Amino acid sequence: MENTTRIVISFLYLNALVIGYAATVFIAEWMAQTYGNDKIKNRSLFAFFTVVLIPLIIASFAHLYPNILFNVLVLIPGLIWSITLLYKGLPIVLQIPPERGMLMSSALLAWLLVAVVSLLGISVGLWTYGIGPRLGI
Amino acid sequence: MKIHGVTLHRKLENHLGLLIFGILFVSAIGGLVQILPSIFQESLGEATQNSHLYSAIELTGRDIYIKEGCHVCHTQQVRPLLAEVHRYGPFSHADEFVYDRPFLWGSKRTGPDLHRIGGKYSDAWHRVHMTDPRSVVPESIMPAYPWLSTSKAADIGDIQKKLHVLKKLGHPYTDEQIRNSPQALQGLSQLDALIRYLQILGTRLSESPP
Amino acid sequence: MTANISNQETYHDEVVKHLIQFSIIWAVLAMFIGVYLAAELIWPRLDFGQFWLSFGRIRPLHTNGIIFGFGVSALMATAFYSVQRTSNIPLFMPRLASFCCFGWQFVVFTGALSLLAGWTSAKEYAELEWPFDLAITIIWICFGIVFFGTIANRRIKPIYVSNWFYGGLIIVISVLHIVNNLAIPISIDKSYSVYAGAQDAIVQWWYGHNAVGFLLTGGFLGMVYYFLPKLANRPIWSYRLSVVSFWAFTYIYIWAGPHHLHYSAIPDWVQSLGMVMSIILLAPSWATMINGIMTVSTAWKKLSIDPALKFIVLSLAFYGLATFEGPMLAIRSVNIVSHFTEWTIGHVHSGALGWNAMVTYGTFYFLVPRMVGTDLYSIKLANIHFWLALAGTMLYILSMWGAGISQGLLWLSIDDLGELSYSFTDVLTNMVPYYSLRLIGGLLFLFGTILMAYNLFKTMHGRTVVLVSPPEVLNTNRETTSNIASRLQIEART
Repeated sequence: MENTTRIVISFLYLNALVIGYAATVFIAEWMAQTYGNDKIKNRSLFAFFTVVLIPLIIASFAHLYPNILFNVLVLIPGLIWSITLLYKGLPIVLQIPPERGMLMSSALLAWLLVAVVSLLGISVGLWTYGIGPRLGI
Repeated sequence: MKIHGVTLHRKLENHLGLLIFGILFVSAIGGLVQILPSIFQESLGEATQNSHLYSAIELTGRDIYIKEGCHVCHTQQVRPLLAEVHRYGPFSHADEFVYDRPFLWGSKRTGPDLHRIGGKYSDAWHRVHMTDPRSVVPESIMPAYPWLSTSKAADIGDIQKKLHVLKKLGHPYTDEQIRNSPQALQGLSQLDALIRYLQILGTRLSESPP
Repeated sequence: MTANISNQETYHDEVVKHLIQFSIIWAVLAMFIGVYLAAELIWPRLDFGQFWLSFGRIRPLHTNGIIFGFGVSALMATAFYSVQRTSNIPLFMPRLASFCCFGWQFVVFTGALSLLAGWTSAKEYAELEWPFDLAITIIWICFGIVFFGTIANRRIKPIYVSNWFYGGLIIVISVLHIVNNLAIPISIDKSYSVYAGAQDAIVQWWYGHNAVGFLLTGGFLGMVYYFLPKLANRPIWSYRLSVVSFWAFTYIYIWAGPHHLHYSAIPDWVQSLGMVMSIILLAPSWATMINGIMTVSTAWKKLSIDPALKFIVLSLAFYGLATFEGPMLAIRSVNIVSHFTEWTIGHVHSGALGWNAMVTYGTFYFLVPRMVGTDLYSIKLANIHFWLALAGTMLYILSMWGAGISQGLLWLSIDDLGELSYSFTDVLTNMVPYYSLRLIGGLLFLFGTILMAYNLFKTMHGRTVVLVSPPEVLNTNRETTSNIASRLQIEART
């Protein structure tokens, strides 16, 4: 892969992550009503998700060393930490009972999984179309 | 429309027979549309120059392939994609499979596709590979099959009966072939039969002109 | 429970208890085999040169053990439990129901042994040879007789929607099983399929995909539509939606089979049809998920005392993932990369672990204590199980996504000269970290399942099933489905 293509791909993925992050916040706001909070303010959920993502952001520096095993060993604990923060922190931020927070966190997890798999699918679709690494198809 | 829909629903909701019939009817449509045409499509079922009728030994080898679950890790369908044709050989045509009962296209490549494996490696290589894969491919995760070289090919069922049944299903075996089949298996191990099968896989197509 | 003095009859729940016990045992056994398979992919010498530990022979043991052992036992149990209560009458021919229970376990167990011996048809999820196919057919017909017989004698006129899904399970699986397994026997352990080559492929994946659709999806939706309202203490959020999606589901799912055969030697139009219908299938699937989530979202108060709800909610989340990922993988341009890779395995397990196993676990945690008239032995263990199940599933899915995309991409990768960039073994050696992660995920999930087995068996220990009489229902001819739902609520509160 040429350098220019790599830069373009990195840029596109960064955009995808930022859009995913913003979308998660808006979806959480939309869900908040169903789970018992009518007065949520924009900023607190943006702040909350930033905090939730910090372990993953730091862990993702492991990508600089392109070794699968190393990345797995660093990113999995990071992911576990982030998900723990999500489940523990959501009811606190939204000021709802922990049980309701638990349900909402699970719904958010569903959204996140769907978002990640969509990203995978779109990536693969674009690669097949010709944008990205050279494939013999 | 809406009123009709609700009335139909009420009818189905209250009447078990109608409900059962409704389920049968609705679920049958897709299958009929997709399966029936293929049953009548000649190109999918009729033998051509690319179709290889398995000999007694090759058929026995194929049944061993099935018995050991080789299709669980290996596919037998080369897709019409550049990289695949490059890696394995010409892509797989429907008429190559008309004598395959059941089909062994597989659904997972834990190991490589085998449809064009015929003639690529020597018998001796296969022998060593099946007995201990890691001695020829150090990174291999394939299981070893040491018991195949010590078991008799003739133990894999009644070959005459098999050929007889296949003949009934339309495979053009001659009576002489069927009569002589147990002899053909004499002295052969299961490993011999399996290797014989592997060595003819996919070789038929390459014989035809491009 | 409402006492019914004049009516001496009681629901037949003993068979339900037995089926649940068998289901749990199969779950542990079949998942252990799964973990062993995962380990063999990292350390192939774990078969110690023995045919009965060989990957190719024990893989169908795992799939059949899960689908037919764990899955069908759970479905039979919950079908028998719920059909009685929604029909307001005890089981039709209860001794036949017991035959179904024990007969089924016998068939699956001996079938498993036959697979080890190498008796296989090589057709996925239909590996069992013809003697077992016949036995399955007989028992399945008996299952249908008991189930539909109970509904035929029902005291409430409208048939509740969960029974539609169980009914669909019984009817469609019968047709699929019989048609796909048609074969001419040679000997007791071998037969030849009446279909060959490309035709066989189309029939097999019509079967294979709809086994997933009507057994692993449809049947478990029947479970959801009965137990979710019970758990949440309120009726289904939109009954109309459940009915519409049932019919959409039953019609559309059947068409989706050919998405397993993209770029193969079957006709293009069949592949395209399968792809399009798979994408359309997303609609009824997600409608069902939303229906379920909206039904339980208000039942949160029970979470602290009832771990079952956690499992059900999470199962709906994974149901959403799996039914989104499926249509996506059915798209040709995605399938080019994903076909034959670990991504497919990841998809299967996001459904099997995240949806099927978790919804069953939630249902068992809810049902078992109530059936034996006591509290769950340990809520704490159930909560630990929940986190183990979530962690196990997530690790499994993520590792397989990584592995699958790598494989697909690297296999197809060509360099500037048009030559293949990587050999097959190059790609294989890169899989080890992913396989290791998946093994850990599987171990976590198995361990959680073992905790559940311990918990539930302790709950059932020394106790018999509580006898419950069908409650008096007035005006049975005019009882509407919303009345049924309300009555279910009343029962749940007592």
